[in-house]
Amino acid sequence: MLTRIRKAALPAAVYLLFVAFLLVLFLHPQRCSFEKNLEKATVEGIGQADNNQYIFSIEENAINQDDPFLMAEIRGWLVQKGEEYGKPIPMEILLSGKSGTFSVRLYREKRLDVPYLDQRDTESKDLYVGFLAKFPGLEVPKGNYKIGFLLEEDTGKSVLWTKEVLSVT
Amino acid sequence: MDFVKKLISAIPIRYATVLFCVVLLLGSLVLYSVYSYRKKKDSTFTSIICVAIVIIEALFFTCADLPALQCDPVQVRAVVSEDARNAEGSVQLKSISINSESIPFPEVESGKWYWKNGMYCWDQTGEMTWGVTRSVVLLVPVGTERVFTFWADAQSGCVEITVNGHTQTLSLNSPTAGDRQVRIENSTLRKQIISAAFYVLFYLIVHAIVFLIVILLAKPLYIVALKFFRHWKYEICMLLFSLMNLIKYTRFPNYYEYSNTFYFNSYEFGFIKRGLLGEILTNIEPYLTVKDLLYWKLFFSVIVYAFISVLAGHEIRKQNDEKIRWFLVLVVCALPSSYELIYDDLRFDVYIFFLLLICVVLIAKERMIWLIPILSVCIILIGEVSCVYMMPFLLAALLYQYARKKEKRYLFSMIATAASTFALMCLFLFLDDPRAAYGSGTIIQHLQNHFEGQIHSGAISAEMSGLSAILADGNRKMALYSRKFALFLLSLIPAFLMLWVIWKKLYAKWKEKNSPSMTQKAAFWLLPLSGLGALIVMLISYDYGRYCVFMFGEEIAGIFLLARSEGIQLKYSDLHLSDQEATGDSVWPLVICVFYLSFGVLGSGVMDTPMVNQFDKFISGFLNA
Repeated sequence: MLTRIRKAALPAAVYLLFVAFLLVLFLHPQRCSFEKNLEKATVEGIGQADNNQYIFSIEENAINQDDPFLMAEIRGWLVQKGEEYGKPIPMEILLSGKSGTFSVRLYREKRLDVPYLDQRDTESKDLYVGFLAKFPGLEVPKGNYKIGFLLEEDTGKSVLWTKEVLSVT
Repeated sequence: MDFVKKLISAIPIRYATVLFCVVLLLGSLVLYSVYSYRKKKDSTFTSIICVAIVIIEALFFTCADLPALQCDPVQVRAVVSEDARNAEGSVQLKSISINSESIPFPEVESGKWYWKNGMYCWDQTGEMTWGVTRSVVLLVPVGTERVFTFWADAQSGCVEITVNGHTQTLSLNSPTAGDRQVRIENSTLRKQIISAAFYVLFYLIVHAIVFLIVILLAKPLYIVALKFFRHWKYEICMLLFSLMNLIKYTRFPNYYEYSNTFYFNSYEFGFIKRGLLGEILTNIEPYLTVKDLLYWKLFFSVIVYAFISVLAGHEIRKQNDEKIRWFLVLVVCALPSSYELIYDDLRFDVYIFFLLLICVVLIAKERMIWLIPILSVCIILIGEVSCVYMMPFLLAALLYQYARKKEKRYLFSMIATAASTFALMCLFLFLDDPRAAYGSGTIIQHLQNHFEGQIHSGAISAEMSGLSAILADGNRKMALYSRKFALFLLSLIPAFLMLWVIWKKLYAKWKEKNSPSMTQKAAFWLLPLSGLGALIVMLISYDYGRYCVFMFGEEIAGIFLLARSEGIQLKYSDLHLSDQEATGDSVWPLVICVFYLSFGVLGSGVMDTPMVNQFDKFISGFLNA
């Protein structure tokens, strides 16, 4: 009897888990998978970056009002000035408003239209200076948010604030 | 000297490299032959290694760009244009080529321009903001036929190029944008000879080092490799054939928008059909670049092919007759054209088939049968149409094992699989699609957020349309492509014939061994018949090749399952059309395999089925002749 129970324990556990999984799928609420790209953040204790060390451009900064999740997109490029050529730098987007500060995970894009990058090797990782942030606007309280970059420099993290503003309405 | 000069400029460097490789190869072989003759050793191994090394080196040196061992300094200077309106126009250097072959951008000896859109540029803004200088000196490799390609447009200025003391000026100003090429002075003969000598010396040293390292490292591995190949020869052959198909038919680095779209279909808007894989994928990574997805597809294809090869090879080795072993390898390669939906850019069918094969392995091994209903639910959640072309086969396999073993676990699994499939299908048929509230336009726009490439709007619209619309579309297309469908069925007759003969022989041997009851007989014949469910989907969806691939896949899986379970030994000499005992081997099974191999893959929809198109051409040509 004990052996039979022991034999049935694994299948029973797997079946229970699978049924639970199916229930979760079936009762799946509307949820945008980009949600996890957005996190509450704090900039306390993080220093300001030197504006003269970076060149950037924010080319797109908008919320799609027709999207069921109000998808927001911030796109552009940022280059750290070097002696010879510009270099990419690891970063996140920061949104700072009255309701708090949020950080958004970025996707990298290769950019050949950005001047001052060494393009002798067009497959070089150093050409990935473009960035793309996507997140559901529904997850952010309404208001105006100042856009900044959370940079990871050799000396540690620092913040570079821009004059661009994202309006979540 | 003139003759030498002409000879050097006449032979392009890649042919000279190939010639040089041939000389090296012959030299290596002669040297080793002398050595092995003196030592009385077998030189086969080293001969293979010699050939391999020289081929690798030849590929490397002809494909890769030559090392610049000697260079000419070339000064490129932006000058004030004669045209006053464009006095300070820009200069954009696109590329440099030697003997019509592009070379990597050369070293900059002095000066500084900036890069934009892959071009080396000068303009006044750059001069002011980034310390760009008006002239740069580039170290261009020695050679003849050296061409600089500049970009010319209405904003461009003039450029002055100085090499070996000769200066030429070129105006890049043009009302129509386009490339402008300028040929620069050839290197001096002395420099060319020194460069060639350096190159040969460099190559010799590299060759000697590579040769030595490979000989030292590879010799002990040779015996192991030979043993490995002898043991896994069937798997290796099937895998190589699949990989060859993969290379031949892959769209990489392009992609098929239609099949890519399904990868982003998830449960974001609620429970929908065909959403499971998209849900898993978008939860792992919500945004994918084109490269990410393509690499994943290539990786998964190789995994599937390796899995199929190992599985089939394992079963093939159980047969004693060497001829039937190689024949089965040929059948696996030829009939489903290595299941290669890579032509269709790895649609979800491949994932479904992969899960089905896992189920078949579990049934054949008689282990963890309880897992089959779970896997079958996953199959339905990935693609609900599989209930017609895959579930019957799975149920038939379970029924066959139940009839054979009379164990309740098979019956339980069969009932659970059938019930869960039925329940899910009812859900998909009778529940509203939650996306319908938003309209397909909004959904497509949202899905586009997940992918760098283009999402196919037709794929989502077709997904969201009801069963009646799909049936009506199928009828319309059937009327339109009836000739192609007839041709397709005609081209399948040889395969059906061959499978029929194999199944018949299996049945005869099985009957002889077991003296089965009526139920067992019925369970036996349900196995080959269940695979024919794919014919129904073919008629509805007009994707003939796609479903046909899986139909043959299931038939072959069924043959292996039966041969394994019953321990049946097939013989190639058994494969005769007539029931009478015949002497000698029949050639027609081989001819059928060659027929499918020569007409190519089964492909996808009726419009892009290479096999049907080639068959069509062949029949038309035959009739016209």
